[in-house]
Amino acid sequence: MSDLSLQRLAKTYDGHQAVRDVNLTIGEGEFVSLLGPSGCGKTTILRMVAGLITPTGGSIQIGGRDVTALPPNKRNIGLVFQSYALFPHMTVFENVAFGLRRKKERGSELESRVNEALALVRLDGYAERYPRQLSGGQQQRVAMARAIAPRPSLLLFDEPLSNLDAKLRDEMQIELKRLQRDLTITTLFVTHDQTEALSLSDRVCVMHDGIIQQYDTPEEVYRRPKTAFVASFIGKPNQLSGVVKGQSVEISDGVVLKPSSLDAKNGQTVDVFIRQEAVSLLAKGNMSSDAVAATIALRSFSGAQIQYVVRLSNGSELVVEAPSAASATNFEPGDTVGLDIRPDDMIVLPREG
Amino acid sequence: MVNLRSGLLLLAPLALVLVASFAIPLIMLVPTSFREYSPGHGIITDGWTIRNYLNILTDDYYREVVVRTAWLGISVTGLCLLLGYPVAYLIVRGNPRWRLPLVMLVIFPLMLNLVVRSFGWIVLLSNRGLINNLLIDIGLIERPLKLIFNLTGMLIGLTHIYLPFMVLMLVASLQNVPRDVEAAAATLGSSRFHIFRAITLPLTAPGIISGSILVFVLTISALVTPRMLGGPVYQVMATLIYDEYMQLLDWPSGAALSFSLAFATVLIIWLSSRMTKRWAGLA
Repeated sequence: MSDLSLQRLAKTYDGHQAVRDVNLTIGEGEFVSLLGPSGCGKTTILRMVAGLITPTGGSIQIGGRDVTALPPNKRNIGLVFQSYALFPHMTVFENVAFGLRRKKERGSELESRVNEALALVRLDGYAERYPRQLSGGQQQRVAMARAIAPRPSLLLFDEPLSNLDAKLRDEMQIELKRLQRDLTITTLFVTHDQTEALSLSDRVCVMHDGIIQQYDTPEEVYRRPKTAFVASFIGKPNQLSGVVKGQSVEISDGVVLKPSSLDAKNGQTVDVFIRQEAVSLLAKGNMSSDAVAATIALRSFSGAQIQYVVRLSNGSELVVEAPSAASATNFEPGDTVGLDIRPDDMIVLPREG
Repeated sequence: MVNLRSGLLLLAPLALVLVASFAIPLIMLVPTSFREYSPGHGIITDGWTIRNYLNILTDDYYREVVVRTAWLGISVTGLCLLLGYPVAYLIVRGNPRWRLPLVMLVIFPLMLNLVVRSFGWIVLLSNRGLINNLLIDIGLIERPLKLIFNLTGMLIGLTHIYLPFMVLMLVASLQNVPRDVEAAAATLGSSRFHIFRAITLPLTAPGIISGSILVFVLTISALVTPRMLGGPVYQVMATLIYDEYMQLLDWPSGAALSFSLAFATVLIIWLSSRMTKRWAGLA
């Protein structure tokens, strides 16, 4: 086990900067996610760490050893691919044994370590099957067993769950969490799925345009986003803009929000991000004085939740997510309601540029 | 989906042409191959014999030609594989900018007439040809090397002509090897050579086998190039069959040789397709 450290890591493709001077340190045994939309450079970073792409600048250290110039086979890493990338002409046993054989493991030691790895991903009894005889979820588990069997000093995941259907993805996520707890191998996990990143990681690194936007614990990233990009990317936020007036933000005439903390000068233009789940709808009768008046424009039922599109007096619209419990008040389009926005959940960031 | 009846109807025009111009004449040749031929009289129509077939195995001259043809097929296939694999690998795994020019380079000779290509080799390889003159001029040899009207000439000519088929088959199968699978082997500790041996080569086995079958079958049945580069004396089965028919008018022997060649070809295709199925079953 070792830590991973990236210093001023950069990659340029034909003049396009995919990764720009990224500095990132992952502690020993830590699980870190690189989270961002496609094209943000996260996969490029992972592949540079694996040695599959040559960086145009900067250095990579694994366990204090500079590996920037080493080929992938000299880096002692395990990589789990989105496409599984199993060896189709080999049995599950041979797939898992591949890395161990490269490390000169033979005989009963080899066999016991392969079986140990297969037991970890709960695939005992599948050793003699071929990959094509397995389901997608099973293939992905074989890929994990293959990556962890040689006990790499660093484990890399390249969107490992995005080829699986939703139900299987949830199962595999729990499986991964369990595996990570048991093994405590330093792990870099690339994903565009924020739920995955938030629930699995010790720390999340949000990326955009080849730049790290925020590197923090999942709670911090969710509750206190540092940039407008992170605020708009994480969760399902509504975005409003307004002007700071004392301790409140005036969106427009009559629409005034009162966040719990405000770090901006009087008169400054700011963006306010409000999560869909941070708003409660109040019936006309029991509106408090702080509530913002609005009309329901649209109602959409999706099982556990009901989503309402509400229109403020200035014409801007918000999406509000309410639990669909039978006891909860049901609103219909056209109803006038009050929006009770929790002051802690309003994220106010100065307008950029 | 096309149902069975309309499927048959769609096949009918081609099937009719094939039956009339290929199947019926072929079947008519079967009895001929069991007749006796008497020089000066022609085909003797009373009585049957299997001597034409026995001759192929027992007659020293026939046997030499059969063995030579088989050896030629194996050598050309091997050479095409050795020369073609690196080219195919470069086309698939090299700089994408070079892909189209390289593919064009491979395909281009196919657009040239077979006779012209073979004649080109005569110009290059003959005793007073380009290569021998050059080697003599720079003093490497004193007498011209015998590069033509023997096995060497045929090997060179046939390898050149059938190389594109091999390369195209290999390109197709190399394209089916996912990059991630090779990358996975690299992260697990494989050197580039080991990746090739343990991953790429086994996964391209179906392409290697089908390319080899194609080149082998084309080589043993080739007529024009062996005739031009082998001369009138250095025979392979196809040229021998031609001579039996057209020069000696010994149709029974020619028919027997033809059927033997066809039978050998079908046998080889059948055997290798069984092999492919077993390998591809794993791949």
